[in-house]
Amino acid sequence: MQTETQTQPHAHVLVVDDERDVVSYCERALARSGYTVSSAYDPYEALRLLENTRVDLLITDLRMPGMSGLELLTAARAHQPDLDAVVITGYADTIEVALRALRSGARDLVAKPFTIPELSQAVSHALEQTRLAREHSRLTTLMPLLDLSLRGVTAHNMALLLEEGLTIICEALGADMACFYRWDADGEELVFGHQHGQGQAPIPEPAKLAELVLAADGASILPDGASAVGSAMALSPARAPGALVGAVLAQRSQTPVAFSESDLEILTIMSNQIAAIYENCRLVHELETWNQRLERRVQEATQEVQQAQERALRTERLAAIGQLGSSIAHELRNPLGVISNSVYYLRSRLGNDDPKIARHLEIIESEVAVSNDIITDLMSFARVRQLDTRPVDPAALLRAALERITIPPSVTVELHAAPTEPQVYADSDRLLEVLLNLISNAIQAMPDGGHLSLEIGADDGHVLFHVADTGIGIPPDQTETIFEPLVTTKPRGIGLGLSIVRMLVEAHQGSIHVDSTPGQGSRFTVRIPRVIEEAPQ
Amino acid sequence: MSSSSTRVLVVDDNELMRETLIDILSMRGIEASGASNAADACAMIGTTEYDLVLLDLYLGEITGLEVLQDIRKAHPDLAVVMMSASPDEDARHHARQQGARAFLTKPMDPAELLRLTKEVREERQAGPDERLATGSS
Repeated sequence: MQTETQTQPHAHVLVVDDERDVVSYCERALARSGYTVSSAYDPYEALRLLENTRVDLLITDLRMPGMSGLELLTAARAHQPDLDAVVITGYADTIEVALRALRSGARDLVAKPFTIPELSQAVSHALEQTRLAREHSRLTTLMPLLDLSLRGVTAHNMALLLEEGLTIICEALGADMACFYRWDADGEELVFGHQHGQGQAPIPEPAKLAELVLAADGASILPDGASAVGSAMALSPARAPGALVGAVLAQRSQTPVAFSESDLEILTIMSNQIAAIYENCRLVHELETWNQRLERRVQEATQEVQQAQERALRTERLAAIGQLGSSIAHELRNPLGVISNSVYYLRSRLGNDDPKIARHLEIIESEVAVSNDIITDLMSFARVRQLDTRPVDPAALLRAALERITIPPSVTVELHAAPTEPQVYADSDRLLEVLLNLISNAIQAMPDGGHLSLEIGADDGHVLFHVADTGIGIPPDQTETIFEPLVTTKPRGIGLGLSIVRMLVEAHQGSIHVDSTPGQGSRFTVRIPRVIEEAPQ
Repeated sequence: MSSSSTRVLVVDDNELMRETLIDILSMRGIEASGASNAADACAMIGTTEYDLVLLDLYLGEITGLEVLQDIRKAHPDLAVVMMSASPDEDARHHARQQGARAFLTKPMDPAELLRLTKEVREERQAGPDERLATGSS
């Protein structure tokens, strides 16, 4: 039996008394005050009603057949743990009975016979107390979560924060298990995120949960079919400002008491807090990833700039040497020209008469040629000439270099250069100069003979020229300096060859390095970009 | 054209360069003389008929290229061979454009100079028609 009032309902009260007059008296009085009123004439009917209906206040007679008002309150709280009551005491009830009622959790008492104002006051007093108690309990429950949220701003261990958040939810709701689900990166599927505790009942599939979450505004009790028997489950969307981040599922299986309205409210708030913490964490991680990427880019860029600066400095130094060298060379070529003219004259006049004179003229001539070669090297520093690059067959170039050099009989040569190697973009004259220089260096490093190995290889984007000898080798502390101008390990020469080689290789956007063991030999490797799409510069 | 001996003028500010080149040319029966600067060279070209002028690229204040230009204007038929101690690509290019017969880099091979002198002399003796046909290289 249920009576709806037409006035604006603001609380739902249930009146239980075996005296029908009292029930109808209360119904009329409370309805007039604007309450929604349900009623029952015996405690069992009241319990059946409470199974399906949520009420804010129970008004019950203390003495009823079969079950006392206090027993009813205890039984009702199995369905609705936060239910409060106003107890109606009879004429025969003692103070002791009244006190027991209050200790059992009744908010207030009204003694028969009571007036309408007395009833109204007791009811409104009880509802106010209930409201205050709920608010207090909610605040108390939310405090740890607030604390966690604050820490979430600075701490970013996602798993730890989720574990703490779900622990707080379990404690606040008396749940055995709480589980966080998140939307995957595409926002299409709900996936498992983190779980605290163990539930005994099977959990619905995430797809099913997703369906429920999308349909819900706040937390809700999982409907029959989704929720297993012998457990109580509630599910709440987890929303951060502007985004549905995921969902939180709570399960009571030890004491499968249904989640109350205020439990659901708390679960909604807590789920949203967890969403905020999760979202904050995720954004911080994303930011960190970006930061790391940015830092790496900055490092790379710095390195590139440093290398470019080193190259520029080197080029500048070489240009300075080139300028000085070039003017010295120019001055030297005139006297060399005069000497060579004189030798020509003398050879024409005397060369055929005396073999000794012929021999000495030959010596002068050859030394003039050696001097002129050094001058040519020196002057090539000043020749800032644009490279004339085009696709070049590295194997053919290596063979051409080998043909131009006289190999002493004591040196054996091994050539690995398949004609199918990828081509390189190069100024063939200048790259040939590089190879000639390296090969003749290798031969000079083996005055007592040895083995010369020429090989072409490739790596990602480059063709590699290897020139290896079994000669005297280079001391470890000199493997870098030999590429500097005016540094040489040879008894003759002014040490320009390898610096010119490096300058030419770098002009091709390439690089050169050497592996060497003194007494065993050296292996020079030149890397030149292979033809892919377009020529460098 | 006269059947007298071949005449070559060596223009270089380096005295020993002049001396050794003149000796080599003379050794082959060529009448060689020297000038150490542009003014002397131009004056001598104005008064003597040469088969070939050997002109250094660097003559102090005036460059060999300017002298070359003057000579080519006043004496378009006169063969001029440039010489230089540097392999200056630009100068080589300009010299060719202005009609230099050849460009020798010091230290030069005197045999090459002798070959060029012989070649020019033979062209001049062959006659003006053939000279026009081959002298513009």
